[in-house]
Amino acid sequence: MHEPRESNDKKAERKSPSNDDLNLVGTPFRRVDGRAKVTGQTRFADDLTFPRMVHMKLVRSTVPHARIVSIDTSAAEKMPGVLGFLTGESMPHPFGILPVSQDEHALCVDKVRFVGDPVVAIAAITEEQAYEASLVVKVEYESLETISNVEEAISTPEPRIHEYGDEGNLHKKLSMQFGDTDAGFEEADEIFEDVMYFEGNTHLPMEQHATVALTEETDRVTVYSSTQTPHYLHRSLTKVLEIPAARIRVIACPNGGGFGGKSDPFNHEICAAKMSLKLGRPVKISLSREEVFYCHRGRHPVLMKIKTGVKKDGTLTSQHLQTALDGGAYGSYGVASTYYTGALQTVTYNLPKYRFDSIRAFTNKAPCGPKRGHGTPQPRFAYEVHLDKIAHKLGIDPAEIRMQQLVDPESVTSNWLKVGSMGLGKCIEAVVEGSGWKERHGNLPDGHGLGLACGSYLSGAGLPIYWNHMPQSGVQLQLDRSGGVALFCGETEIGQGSDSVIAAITAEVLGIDLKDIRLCVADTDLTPVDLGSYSSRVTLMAGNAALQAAERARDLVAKGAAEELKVPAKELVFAEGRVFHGENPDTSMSWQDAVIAAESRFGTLGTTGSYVPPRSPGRYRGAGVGPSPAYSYSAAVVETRVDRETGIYRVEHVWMAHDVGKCINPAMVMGQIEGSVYMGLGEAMMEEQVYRRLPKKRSNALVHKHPSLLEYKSPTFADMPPVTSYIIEDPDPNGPFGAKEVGQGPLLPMMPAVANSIFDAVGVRVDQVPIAPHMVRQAIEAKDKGKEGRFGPKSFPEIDFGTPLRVPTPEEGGDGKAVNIDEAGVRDGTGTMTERTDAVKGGE
Amino acid sequence: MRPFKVIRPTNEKEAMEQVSKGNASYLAAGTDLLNRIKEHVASPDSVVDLKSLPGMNTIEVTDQGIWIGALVRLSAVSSHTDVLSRFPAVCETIIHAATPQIRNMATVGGNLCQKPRCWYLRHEGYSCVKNGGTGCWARDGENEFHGIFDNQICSATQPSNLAPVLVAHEAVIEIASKDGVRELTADQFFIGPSSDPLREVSLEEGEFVRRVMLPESTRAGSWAYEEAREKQSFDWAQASVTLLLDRGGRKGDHRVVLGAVSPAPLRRSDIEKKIDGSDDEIAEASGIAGAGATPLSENGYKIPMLKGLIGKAIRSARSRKEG
Ligand SMILES: Cc1cc2nc3c(=O)[nH]c(=O)nc-3n(C[C@H](O)[C@H](O)[C@H](O)COP(=O)(O)OP(=O)(O)OC[C@H]3O[C@@H](n4cnc5c(N)ncnc54)[C@H](O)[C@@H]3O)c2cc1C
Ligand code: SF4
Repeated sequence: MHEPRESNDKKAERKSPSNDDLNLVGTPFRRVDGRAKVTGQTRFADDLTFPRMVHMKLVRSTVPHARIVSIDTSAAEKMPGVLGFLTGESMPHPFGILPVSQDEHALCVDKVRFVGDPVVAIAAITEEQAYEASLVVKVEYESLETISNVEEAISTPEPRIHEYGDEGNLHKKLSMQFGDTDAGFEEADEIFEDVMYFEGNTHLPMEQHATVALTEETDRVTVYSSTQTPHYLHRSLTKVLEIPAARIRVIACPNGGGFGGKSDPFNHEICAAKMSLKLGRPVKISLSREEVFYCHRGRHPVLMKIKTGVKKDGTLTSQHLQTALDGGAYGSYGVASTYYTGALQTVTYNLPKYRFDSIRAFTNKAPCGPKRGHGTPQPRFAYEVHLDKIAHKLGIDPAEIRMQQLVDPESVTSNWLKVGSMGLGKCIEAVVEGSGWKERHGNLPDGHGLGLACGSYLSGAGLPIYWNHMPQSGVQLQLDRSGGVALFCGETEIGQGSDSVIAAITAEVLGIDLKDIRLCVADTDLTPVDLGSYSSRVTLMAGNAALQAAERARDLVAKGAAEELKVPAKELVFAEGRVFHGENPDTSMSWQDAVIAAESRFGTLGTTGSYVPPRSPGRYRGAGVGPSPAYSYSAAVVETRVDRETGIYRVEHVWMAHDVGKCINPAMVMGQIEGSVYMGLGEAMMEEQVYRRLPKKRSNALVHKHPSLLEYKSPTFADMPPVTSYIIEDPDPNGPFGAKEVGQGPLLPMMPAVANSIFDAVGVRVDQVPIAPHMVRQAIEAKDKGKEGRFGPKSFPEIDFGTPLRVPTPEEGGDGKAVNIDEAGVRDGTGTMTERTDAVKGGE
Repeated sequence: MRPFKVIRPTNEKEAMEQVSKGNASYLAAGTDLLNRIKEHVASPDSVVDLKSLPGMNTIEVTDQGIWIGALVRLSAVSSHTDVLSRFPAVCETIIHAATPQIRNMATVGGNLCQKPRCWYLRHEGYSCVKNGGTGCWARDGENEFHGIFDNQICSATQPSNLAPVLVAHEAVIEIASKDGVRELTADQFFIGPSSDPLREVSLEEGEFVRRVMLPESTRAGSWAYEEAREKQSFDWAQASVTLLLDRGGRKGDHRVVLGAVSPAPLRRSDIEKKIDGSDDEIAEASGIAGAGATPLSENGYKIPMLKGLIGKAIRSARSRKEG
C-alpha cells in the first residue's frame, strides 16, 4: 500500500494540475524511439535474422511491355545454394491497394508491363547465391508496343496495358462540375489561363524495402516488413496466399522513411511469404537501391491546364482545372491520386464555382502512387504560380490577394468539403512578417527575389480504402499493478513520430511518465487495426483512439482511487505520476497505488478506444476523395538569389508557417516542417524520375534514366538553406487536443514559392518543376530577345473528358448530390470512393 | 555486384604484368571503378590495387614545381599549404569536385583516369564507339549534359575537374610504362575521340600514372575558376572556365581552358587574346565563347552559360589581382 505523502513533498508545492493544464502535450519531450534510433538499436526489417533463414532475389523484366513466352530456370537450378523458385502461376490472384485496381500479381503472369516488373523469385542459402542464380534465369519475351507517356496512351488505345480501365490505355477519366462555372467566368473581369507541368519524382527513403517471412506451422506465416500499411498488406497476403487472415501475422518494422513509398502491398512481400511457406524456412528479401526505384509509387508526372476568372479586385469567380496524370504500369493508389489532383483546390481560397477534369494514363513505367502530399502538390503548384501571375497582372500584392478571400472556418466548399479550423491567414501573416515581405517583395535588387505560396492538406482521408463501417484506428490499453501501461495500436512508426504522439497523448491523460508506457505497435496479431501511416492520418485518428482509451482508463483508475481517497472520482486530477484531489492536492496517491486500487476492485484492467471520422456532406460519385476530419494549412516565403548569366539560383532562406491545430511536440513538428521544406526543395530544384528509350535493337525498352543515388539528384545538407518555422495553432474540434497534421502539408508551398521567387528576382517564369538553371537561363535569354520570358509546357492535349457530373454548390442550394447522373453516365454514390459493389468485386 | 579478385602487387613491374593478364583493371580508391562495376558497365575479373605500391602517396615540393603522387587524395592536395599558396586554382577546382567524403577518398590518378559520365556509356544496354561498338546514341538522343565542341564522333565530356587546370598549368604527367618512366604534358595526356575513341587519356596497355608535376614556371599572377552545375552542393560540371593570368610573371601569358564542354579540356587562345585589360575585354572575351561550337539538340544552353562564366572569371581574376 502506498506511503503517506509527506507534506513537505516537493510535488505538493507545485501548482496543482488541472485537466486544462497540459503537462506533456505541447512540450518538446524526447521521442520515445529517439535513443534507439540514434544508437543503432532500432531493428529495421533488414536487421532481422532467424535460424535457417534463406535469401530471395527477384528476376525482373528487362523489357517494358511484352508477353512472357517462356521461363527457363534449368541453369539456375544447378547453381550452388539454390533452394527454390516461384513463378506467376503459383500466385494467380491479383492484388492491389485499391479495391477498384486489383491489377498486380506477385509475379507477372503472361505479361510484363515495365522494366523492373518481377517475373521469377529465387531462394538460395546466401544472398550472393540467389543473385548469381538470378543472372542465369532465361525469360523469353514477345515485345508489345510501348506506351511512354500520356500522349501516347491517348493515341494508342491498343495494345492495352491492362484489360480494365475507363478506355484504351486510360485508367481513369473523370469530369466534375461544381456550380455554374460558365456563369462564373462571365462574371469575371479577366480570365487567366496557364499550362504547367510537374515532373514525376520518387520518395527516396534512406531505408531500402526489406521483408522477412517465417512459417511457423504449415499454414501460418509471419511477415516482418518495412511497410507503412501492415493492415492492407495483411489483406493482400490473405487474398493471394489463400490463407485466412487470422493465420497470417504482419509486423511492420519501424520504417527508415516511407513518404508514401511503402504504402502499397508489394510483390516482394507476398513472394517472401509464399517462398517461406514453400520451403518451410525463414525467407528474407532486401531490395537494392535500383529495385527501390522500380517499386516507385512516387509522384505522378502531371500536365495541367488551369483557367480562372477573376474580378478586378482579385476576387475569384470560377476555375476550370484539367490534369493529365502519367500513372505508370499499375493502378496503385492512382484512382485516388487522380481525384486528389483536383479535390483540394477549394479549401484555401473561396472558389464559388469549380470544374475539374482529369485522366490517368497507363504507361510502361514504374507505377506512380502516393508521395508526401499525394496528388495535391502538382495542382497546388499550378494554382499558386497562376495566382502569383494574376496578382502581378492586377497589381495586387500576392499575399493580399490570398488574404482577401480565405475560406471561412467551419464552412463547406463548392465541392462539398467541410472545413473546420482554418489558420491560413495566421500562417500568411507570420511569413509575411518574418520575411519582411511588405518592404522587400518587388523591391530587392536585381537577381534577388521573394516568392510566396500556400497549401493545405488532409489530416487523414475521411474514408478507408475499402468499404466498411469499422473504426479506422484502434487503441487498446492494458494496465496492471506494476504501474506500467501497455499500449497496443496498429499504427506504424515511419520516422514521423507517431509512436511518440500516441504515447504522449496517453501519458498526458493518465498523468504518467512517458517511460511508463510500453508500446506494442503495427502487429496484426496483437494490435487493434489502424489503417496505416498514410494520408497524414495517424496523429488525428490513432491519437483520438488513444485519447478515448486513455480517458476510459483514467476513469476506471479514478473509480478505484476515489474509493481509497474517499473523494468523488470526478474531482480527481491525474498528473506527475500521482492522483490528486483537485480541491485539496494534499489528498493524493501514487499512480501505481491508484492502479492497484482499481485492479483490486475490478480485476484485470484494460480499455479500448477507436476512431471513425465524421461523415462528409458530399454525396456525389467521387466525393470520397478530399474529405478529412481536419485540414492543415501552410504558407511559405522563399528568398532566392538568381545569377542572370548562368541561371544558377540558390534558395537562401525559407520562412514556413504551418497551422497544426495543436502542437503535440514542437520539436517533432519543426522536424516535419524542415523535412518538408527539404523534400519540397528537391522537387522544386532537381528531383525527377524520368525514363529513356533503349535502342530499337535492344527492345526499344523504356528504362529508368538513373536508378541510383549517384545520378538521381537530390539535395544534400549543403543545398539546404536556413529555415524559419512558425508553428500556428488553430485547434480543430476533430483533432486530439485540437491537433491536425504536419507530415505532408508544409511540402506543398515549396515548389510554387521557389518558382515565384525566381520571378521576383529576374522577372521570368519557369512553369514546370524541377527548375534547372538552364531553364531559368533560357527564359532570361528569351526575355532579353523580346520574347515571352517563360520556360514551360506549351499546350495541353485535346481530351474528351465526357459530360461532367454536375453538382450544385452549397451556395446554389445543392444537397451534395449530382443532378445529372444519367447524362454523365455514372452512378451516384454514398460519398465513398470505393463503394460496396466495387469493394466486393475487387475483393473477390 | 559481380565478384572479382583483388591483386596487391608489390612493385610497378608486377602491377603492369598483372593488369595485362586477361580482364583486369587498376584500382585506386575505387570511387569511380566500383560504381561502374555495380552498374554492370565494367566487369573485371581482377583488380590490381595501386595502393599497395610504395612511393605514390606523397607531395614533394621542389624548385621546379610541386610533384603530386597519383595516390594522393584530392583533399590532401587541396589542403596542402604549398599547393594552396602556389597553385590556388588547383585547390579551387578540387573543392568544386564531388563531396567532402569522396574527396577524402578519391585519388589524383583516379580523378584523371575516371570514365566519362555519358549516361549511355554508363548503361549496360548501350554500345557505341566509346566502348567498342559503332555510332553515338547521344547525337540524336538525350544530350543535355554532353559536349558542344569537337562532338562529331563522341560528345561525352572529360569529367575530371582537375583536367582543365592541369592543362592551364601545363602540368607534367609522369607515366610508368614497360620501358620505364615517360612524361607527357597535360594537353598531350588528355585526348579526344579523333585520336582514339576508346580512351580519354593517352595511356598505353598496362601503363599507369605515377605522379603529376605543377611547374613553378606557370604560377599565375591571378586566376579564377568558375563552374556551372545543375545541383549546387555537388555535381559534375555542365561547363567550367579555368583562367590563369600572367603566368610565371609574364604579362599577357594567360590561359583560358574550358571544361565539361568537349571530350578533352579545351584551351581557347582566341579568348586569351581578348583578355587585354581593355574596358570591353569581358564583352569581347565572352562574346566569342561559342565560336566553333556545334551544339546538339538539348545542350545549346551551354553557350550562354559559358559566356556568363567567362565574364565572371575575368571579373573575379581581375578583382583578386587588385585585392
Ligand atoms: C558523388 C560523386 C561526385 C563526383 N563529382 C565529381 C566532380 O564534380 N568532379 C570530378 O572531377 N569528379 C567527380 N567525381 C569523380 C571522382 O572524382 C572520381 O571518382 C575519383 O577522383 C576517382 O578516383 P579514385 O581514386 O576513386 O579512382 P578509381 O575509381 O579507383 O579509379 C578510376 C579509374 O581510373 C583508373 N586509375 C586509377 N588510378 C590510376 C592511375 N594512377 N593510373 C592509371 N589509371 C588509374 C582505374 O583503373 C579506374 O578506371 C565524383 C564522384 C562521385 C562518386
Ligand atoms: S557521347 Fe560518346 S560515350 Fe556517349 S553515346 Fe555517344 S559515343 Fe557513346
